[in-house]
Parts: sequence; C-alpha cells; structure tokens
Amino acid sequence: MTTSTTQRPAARGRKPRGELIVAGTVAVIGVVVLTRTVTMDVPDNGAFLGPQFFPYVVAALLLVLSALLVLQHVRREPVDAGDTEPGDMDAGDTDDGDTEAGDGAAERRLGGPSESDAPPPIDWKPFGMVAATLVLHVVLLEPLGWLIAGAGLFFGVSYALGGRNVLRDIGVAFVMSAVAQLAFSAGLGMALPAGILGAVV
Amino acid sequence: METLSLLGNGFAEALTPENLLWCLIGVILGTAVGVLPGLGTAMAVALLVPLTFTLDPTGAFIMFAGVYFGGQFGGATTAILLNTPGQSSSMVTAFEGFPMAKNGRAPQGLAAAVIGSFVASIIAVTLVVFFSPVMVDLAVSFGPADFFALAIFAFVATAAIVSGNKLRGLTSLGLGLTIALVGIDEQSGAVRFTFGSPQLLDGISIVVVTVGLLAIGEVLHVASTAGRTPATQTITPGRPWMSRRDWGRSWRPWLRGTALGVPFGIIPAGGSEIPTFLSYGAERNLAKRRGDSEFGKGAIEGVAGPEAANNATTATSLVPLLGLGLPTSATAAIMLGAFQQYGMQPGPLLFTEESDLIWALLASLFIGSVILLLINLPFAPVWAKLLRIPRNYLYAGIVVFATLGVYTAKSSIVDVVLLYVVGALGFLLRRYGFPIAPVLIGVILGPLAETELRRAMAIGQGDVGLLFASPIALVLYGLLVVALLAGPAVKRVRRRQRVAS
Repeated sequence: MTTSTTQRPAARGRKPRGELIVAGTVAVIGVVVLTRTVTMDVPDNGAFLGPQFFPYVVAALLLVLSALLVLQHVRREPVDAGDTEPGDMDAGDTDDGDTEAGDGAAERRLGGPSESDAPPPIDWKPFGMVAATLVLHVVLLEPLGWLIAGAGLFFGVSYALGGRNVLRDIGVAFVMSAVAQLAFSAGLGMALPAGILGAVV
Repeated sequence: METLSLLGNGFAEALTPENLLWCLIGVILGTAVGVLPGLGTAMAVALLVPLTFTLDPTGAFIMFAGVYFGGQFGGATTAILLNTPGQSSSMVTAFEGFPMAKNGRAPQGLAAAVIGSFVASIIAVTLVVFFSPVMVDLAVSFGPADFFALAIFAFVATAAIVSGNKLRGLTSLGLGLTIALVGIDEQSGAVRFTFGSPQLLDGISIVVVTVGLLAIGEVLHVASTAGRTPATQTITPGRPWMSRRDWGRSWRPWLRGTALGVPFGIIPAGGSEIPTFLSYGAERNLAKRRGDSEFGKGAIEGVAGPEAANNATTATSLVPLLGLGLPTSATAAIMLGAFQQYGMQPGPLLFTEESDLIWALLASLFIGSVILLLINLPFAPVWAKLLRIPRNYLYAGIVVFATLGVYTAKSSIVDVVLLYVVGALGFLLRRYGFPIAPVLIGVILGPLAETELRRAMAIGQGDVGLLFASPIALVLYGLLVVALLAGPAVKRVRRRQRVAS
C-alpha cells in the first residue's frame, strides 16, 4: 500500500464543521446576489420575466440551501456522521463522510484519510505560501512580465510543497517559464506580458 | 447509407498527416495529465483546452479527441498502479487493478484496461454515429418548455442522484448557477453582477471555472495536507503482455461492461460511476457463480469490465451533448464549453450547420482510440515513470500551465484573478466533500435554463401550465421522479459493494 501509512484523524466525538464553513460561504454569496439583484439597473423593454427573476430564484436557492446545511449540521449526532453519502463525481473529489468502519476502510484504500468529512486541520504553512504565491503572481505578472513572474510562480509553489534544493529549483523554474513562453508565443503565437525584460529582449 | 458517406467524408477530413499529428500529441498530453495523481480525464481536457484554441476547429477537435482518450486511459493507469484513481469513474478499477499491480501483473491490468477502453469506445462511438442524427430529429421538435425540462432534469440528475448526497449536490449546483449569472443578460441587455468590471461583461469563461475548480483547487488541497501526504512510489512491472488465458478471461467482461455502459451515457442522468459499479458487481457475481475466488486479489475481470463500462458511458454521453447540447458529465461539460468558444452551439442545428466538423469529430474519435491503443499498449509502463517527477515540481508545473492557459486565452489578468478565486472555492468544496460536477453543469446549463424558461413564459404570457403542456417535458419530469425513487436503491447496492470490498 502506498497511501495508508498515515493515521486516520479522530473524527468520532466531534461534529465535522465543514458544512458550516460552506454554508456560511453560500449564505454570503446568496446575500450578495440578492442585494445586487434588488439594486440592478433593468432596461425597460417589457419582457415578461425580466433579468431579475432568475437571480432571485438563485439567491433564494442559495439561502435555503445554506439554512438546510446548518440544519443538517445541528441535527447530526456528534458520534455518527448520520446520513451523509459518498458525494463523488468525475472530478477527483472523494468520499465525504461516513465514519462507519466499512466505509472508512474503503476510504483509506481509495484516497487516503484526508478526504473525509472531518478533514485533518489545514497545514497552514504550505497552504499560506501557495496562496501568497498566487496573490503575488497576480500583482506582479504585468509589471515583471511572464518570464520572471512565471518562474516565481513555479518556484513559490514548489518551495511551499517542500522543494528545498533552492538553486536547482530556481533553475527549473526559469527553464519551465522560458519553455512555456517559447511554446506559447513562438509556437502558438499568443502574447504574454514582456514586462521589464521587454525593453531588454 | 447517408450516415456512412458522411462519416467517410469525416475520415477524409480528419486523416491528414497534420491532423494525425495533433491527435497523437493530444493522446500523449492527455495521458500525461491523466496519469498524474489526482487528475483525471476532466482535468486533462480542461487544462489542454486552451492549447487547442490556436488551431483551426477541425484540428482542435481532433486533438481534443486524443486528449480525451489519453486522459481516460491515464486515470485508469494511476488507479491500477497507485490505487489513486484520478476520477470517481476509475475508482472501481482500483479495486482489482491495484491488487493486480501488487502481484506484479500491472502490465496485464493496464492492457486489460486499455484494450477494454478501445473495444468499448469503438462500439460506443459507432452507436453515437448512428444515434446522434436520430436524437437530432427528436430534438428539432423541442420547444422552450422541453429544453427547460431537460435542463431541470440534468440539474437534478447530476446534483441529487449521481452525486449521492442531495443537499451537497444541490449546493454545488447553486454555486454553479450563481457563476453563470455574471455578465450581460442576453435577452434584456441588463448588466448583471459585474461589479463594475468591463472584463466581466462577457461572463466568466467555463475554462476559467473548470481549471480553477479542478487544477488550482487540487493544488491548494495538496498544499493544505502537504505535511501528511505520503510520497508516491512506482511498482516495477513484470512481463508486459496478456496471456491467452488473460484474453479468454477479459473479452466477455469487455463486452458486458460496454453493454452496461452504453445506455447510461445516452440518458442525460450523468456520470459513468454507476455503470462501473454495476459492471464490477456483475463480474464479481459471475465469478462467484463459477467458483472463482480471485476477486479481491487482483481479478482481471474486475478491471476489464468497469473500464469498458466507463469508456462506453463517456463515449455515448456525446449523443446528448451533440444532439441536444446537454452535457452529462464534467468532461462533456468542458467539451461543450470548447464548442462555445468556437462560436458553435451544440444541439439540433449543429449537425446541419457544422456538418463537416461534426463528422470529422466523430471520425477522429475512432482515430483517437486507435492511436491510444497503438501508443499506450506498448508504452503503458513508461507512463508510470511520470510519477517519479518530484511532487513539488509536478504541482508547480500544474499551476504554471493552468495560469498560462487561462491568461493567454484572453490576455486578461482579471481571468487569472478569477481562476484563483474559483480555485479557492474548489478547495473549499473539495475539502468538505462537496461534488464538483454539479458546479460545472450549473455554469453551463444555467443560461440555457434561464433563457428557455423566459421564452416559455413569454409565449404563454405567464401561464405556468405551459411548462407542463408538452409530452416531452412530461416524460422528462416523469423520468426524473422515477430516477429520484430509484436512486436510493442504487445507492444501497453501491454501499453493499463498497462494504463487501
């Protein structure tokens, strides 16, 4: 086995809070949709259902769903994860929650222990470093140009995920960035920001 | 046979050396992405869509077909070699595939999977060729109420039935519908939810949403568990060919899997997960009846059947996609997005308006599966070596390509910001077990549902009864009710099989 060496976190005895976090996010989005819809500028062309109807439906759906998620959380027994089902589809998300032994075993076999309803606490350091790298990249892409910003993006993510051979990683990052630039701008004719190197190259 | 001559023209169009090269590149890239841990077919297609935008439409779709088949195979490869399926439809493959790999029979498992996909794809694509025009004939008679019913059907089917937990599936769907609201409302010209940004007038591109949810979301997820995720390791493969006995054991599961998979793609109820489970269950019961106890220890039937079912379903999901413009899986949803990028709206009119292109696409599906067989059967073990790339480089490379692909599509930094924001949302959903596919279905079909609903309402002057006046719509709502009632039964079967395995 390659994936079963880590220990399953102690999910029993406490309620998974994931639903609450998502419920909160959904509620906030619902409120934003609702308020923006109320204040929307509607061109007066007399269509039967205007452009506000569907947003109202979606806002209502979001608010109801977030309420139901909270309700589901409140009603759940802390020990047994209740009626959750594997919620997986095409896209790599896996099991979400039964804590009973059979499913737990299947879960470990398939995707490692990190994908249950009570996921292990976030490893803030690498997570924060990746997030910071993404933010920096957005800020610096146009002023610095792709070559530097792209290399920074590669290096930042690589470092966050444990790459510690700094010189080699920087080298790999620049090679990647340069190859991507060549492939996209020379090969496919797409424009990438040249940035500060634009004047030099 | 009009269909055959059209298909012949399609082959003539697709079989140029240049297009074959694109197909080959597509298969290689698709396999390369699909093979990476945690990334499946949908991700392979999503990441590589931006690359195809520079080609002419025919070349792009042929490359697409290659990416698609490559990604499909890549997902199965990781399931067998590493027990980490790239997508839930390859989950079942891991049940028997990974034990096979541990017994040194990885190459045979891979071969059973790749030949199974080939057989299933060829059969299923043939059916697509002959069924799509029939579907189109049917779809021409669809009115707004029917399209609305169809969208509702797809929403509920993917969100509530396929994804298991109804509340979570619907939540994902709601988020997708919200994303789809952004931009100019086509019917009234009202500006919605752009927050003053002119770049948002066109709405949020499906490529941004998909790549963000899948690629960036996955990288954030990996980062959040970076300290604990064990390193991957490859398994040394043994003798690379299937023996006569392996063939004898595999060909029936291939055909049975295909037969199980085909109908699930055609009905717009989404997902190839159910047929893979059904196929696995069928093969196991048949083995038990034969007194064969190899299941659980690496039975080749358990790889051959589900992989065939998986591929048959994904191939036949092209029927509703091309005929109705209705995606039934995440992969199909991304393909629909790609069609839209080329200014084409899949649906009944596509076959008349873009006839050449469609037949070239169908022909290239055949070509793609042949190329896949030719290059991946001998080189399957080589792909496994990709897994030796250090993890930090792997994910850094994914972020770089995701960013670059999204940026170059429109040279817009706003798209990059959106990509990362959607990635954060994807991380949240992924971490707390909310399915991703309903988000994509919501983004793509949301506008369709809204437009058709408003059209129907305009025709009926607000008479809600009009929505239920057409027999097609009534049949769809009826099917939905049946499916909602049958869903729990399927779930029980699945659960029993999971526990038993």
